[in-house]
Amino acid sequence: MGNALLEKYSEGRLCLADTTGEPVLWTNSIADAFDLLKRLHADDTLKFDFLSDLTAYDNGDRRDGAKRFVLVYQILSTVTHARLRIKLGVDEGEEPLSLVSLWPGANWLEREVFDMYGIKFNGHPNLRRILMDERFTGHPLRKEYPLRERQPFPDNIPLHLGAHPLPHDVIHDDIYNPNILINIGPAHPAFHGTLRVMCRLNGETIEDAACEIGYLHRGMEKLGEYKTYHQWLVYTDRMNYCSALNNNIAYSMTVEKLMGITVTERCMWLRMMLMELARIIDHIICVAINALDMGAMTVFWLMYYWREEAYTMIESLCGMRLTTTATRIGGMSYDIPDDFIPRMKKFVKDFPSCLVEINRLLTGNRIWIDRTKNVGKISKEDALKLSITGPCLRASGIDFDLRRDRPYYAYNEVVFDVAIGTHGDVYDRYLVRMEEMRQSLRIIEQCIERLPGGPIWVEDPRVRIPEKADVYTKMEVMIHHFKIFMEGINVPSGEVYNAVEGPNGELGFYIVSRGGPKAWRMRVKAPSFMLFQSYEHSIIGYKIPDAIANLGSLNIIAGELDR
Amino acid sequence: MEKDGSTVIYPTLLEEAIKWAHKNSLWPMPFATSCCGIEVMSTLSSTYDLSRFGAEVVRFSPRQADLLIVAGTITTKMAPVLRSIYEQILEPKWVISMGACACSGGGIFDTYSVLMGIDQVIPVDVYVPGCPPIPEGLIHSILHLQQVIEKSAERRPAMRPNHEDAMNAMSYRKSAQET
Amino acid sequence: MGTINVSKEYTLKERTYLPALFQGMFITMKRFIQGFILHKKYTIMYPEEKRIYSQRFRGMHFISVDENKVENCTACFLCETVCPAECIHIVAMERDPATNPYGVRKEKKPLSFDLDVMRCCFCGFCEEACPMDAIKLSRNYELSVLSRQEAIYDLKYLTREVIGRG
Repeated sequence: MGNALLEKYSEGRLCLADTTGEPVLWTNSIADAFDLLKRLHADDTLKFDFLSDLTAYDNGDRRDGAKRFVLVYQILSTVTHARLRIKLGVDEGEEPLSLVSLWPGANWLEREVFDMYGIKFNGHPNLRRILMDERFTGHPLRKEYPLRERQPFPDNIPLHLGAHPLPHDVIHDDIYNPNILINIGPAHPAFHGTLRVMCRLNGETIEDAACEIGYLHRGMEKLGEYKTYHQWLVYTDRMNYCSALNNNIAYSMTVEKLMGITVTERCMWLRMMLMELARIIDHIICVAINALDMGAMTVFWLMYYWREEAYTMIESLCGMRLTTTATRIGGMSYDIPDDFIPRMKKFVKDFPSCLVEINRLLTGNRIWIDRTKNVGKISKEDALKLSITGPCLRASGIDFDLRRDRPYYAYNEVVFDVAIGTHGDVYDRYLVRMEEMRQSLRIIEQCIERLPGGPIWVEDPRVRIPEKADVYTKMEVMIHHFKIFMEGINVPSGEVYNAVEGPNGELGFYIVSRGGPKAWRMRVKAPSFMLFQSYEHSIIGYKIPDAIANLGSLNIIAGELDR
Repeated sequence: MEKDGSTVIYPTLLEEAIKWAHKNSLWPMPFATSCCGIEVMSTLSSTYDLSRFGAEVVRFSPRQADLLIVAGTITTKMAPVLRSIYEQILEPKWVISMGACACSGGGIFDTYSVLMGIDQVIPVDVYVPGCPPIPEGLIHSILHLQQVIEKSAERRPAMRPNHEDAMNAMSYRKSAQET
Repeated sequence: MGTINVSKEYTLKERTYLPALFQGMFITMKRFIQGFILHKKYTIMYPEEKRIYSQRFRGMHFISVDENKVENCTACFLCETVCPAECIHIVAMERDPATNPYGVRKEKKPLSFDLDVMRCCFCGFCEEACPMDAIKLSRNYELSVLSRQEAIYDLKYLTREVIGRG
């Protein structure tokens, strides 16, 4: 983003840079923040059409301004690929203006900020708790809330439709009221994990829907403030557990950026290869479960064999199949074993036969087409307004891929294509995912060719975990080893927002550090959160089996949704 | 009568037959919330086929299942749902608590919203530690459960919270020190 | 680096569904013949057939012992500090300096080393942090127990004999 344009908007406002040099604009008041965002949204040259994230952090020690909380808005332009962070200081009792009128996708984000911090938004249509139970008292992410203060509840939340009226309140001209309120979930076979949707049906068509999440909220963000950076790596596996390697790498990348560390060439190429492998296995799960929900069990059996092959490779690398914790800050936990590359070459050679088979089973199959075409359509404008990312955004027709548009690591040196669709229905999402798997194989092939030799750890004494052989023999290495594990890594104060193109969408980590071994605020921008919000809108007008097909195509992972 | 003159007597009490039928046809209901759910799916897939042990039919309805495999973290918001699902399963029923999170709340998830172990709300027969336990670990635990059924081991009463205890576990305010 | 538009339209070929049907049946038949007649199997027949995992596999913990069957652990508390699940509890004590054959290399020892395997998340950080190569993760994954008490393993169980990585 050109400095001239930045100056136009930063008159009267403080403009700083975060640790990696990204611009951060501090606004002066609530009205000022809304006005700035409105102007940025409407600006024709800058074209900030996408709201990436809306979060807050506790400023109790008043290091970032005089107010109690700081609201952080991350906006992005899918056209110019620029990012901008806007901050606003908010005191207790003050009510910022809601962004729902500009970006409907801000609805759930603001509810989450209200739930976690107690900041009320003026003009929000449905400000109620989202991740915690309605009857919960207190706001967990505030610094004064103890970590282990539990509040159990005797029963499940009763049915509701958000801010909309319930069926007995909806009056029709007919003699009888055809509206029924149906509750799907949270323990439902077709719902992947703990998701709950309450729909009002008119006859058989869904007319209104409200989603209830938070049945798997485990408090990972608060734990980020209590565990060291090294220990928090364990939680990243459990977020998007279908592609754990991707999360590990994204988190390690963020902390490395915060510390100003560049990993070695070998580590970088290896991490790229692992990210693409994680993408393949996540897409396998999505397509297989989507087909399973619609009755095509053969696809599930056939595709899961390849997941086991990938698991064998991952297990030979780091010791566990699913929760890998394979990376460390500054390197990897283990270097690849000798048989990894031959196995990977074999995988790359044999896996396309699976894709061909699934193609023959599903793509031309009339049953599949009839069930998935024109189901769950999200138009281009809706996709941008609801802030969805990943294959679902690309299936709606928007050509945006973080690997190509804001490249990280060496993605600008590998050749691959980005798959997009046109209609944004379930069929297009399936086709986009199949094509992405093929492109990932291409990237893996190039990574195998270009994987250099050399060390896997960067020789930075702040983070380098020494080799065991040295620890047993040399004294100063043992002292260094002790300091790294006992005291943790000393990260300088600063903040960074780093996003990678995960299999599900844009997975972002926003870390605010005040120095020391533990983070001040660990924010995870999970792609499934925005996808499930769009689900409320995209099932209206369809029938329940269509809603099930739609959900399978979105690839909602509850661990990431609720954190 | 064998050829060498020895005889073999099979005890065919009705109870033995019923126990044999129970242990060899456990129909699981996977109550999968998080990562352990993916390992349950891997167990059901063809590489570590669970249907070899009688669990051919995976029933997602509690009325049609007899083994509840709780896999994944159970939060305080989800605990009433789990209790109501457990009460809907008809006797005889068994519960396998799979994964560190279900067994003990997970050492890593000791926070404000996680239930510290499902045995506060439902009685558990077999605990499987692991994070997540690999499919062979889950199959080993099902074999262990089959041994338990065979011996009809008496379930310890302290581990069987009745409805009132479960409601109490879910509704009084617990402070941080009391876990 | 280009963009591929993968959208497909609903053509006549898909409307006449019989060819696609036969294609699907052909694939199923091929798999059936592979399995039933050519006996190509993908299933690992656990428990008769156990798969051998790699040397890096993270299973049940054990504490290595030296040739005199004395544990290598010197109760330095590194594993307890780094464990994200807080499942290790160590109480340290000093070895009697008069009868200690190791001198300063093993000055302390754990009086008790309790590992609550129910809480453990099998991340491998304890193995990585241990400076004495004492606590390690074996390849044992058969950990099912019948009660929570049974899963708290003490020093006696942890210093059991493990051949190689178990």
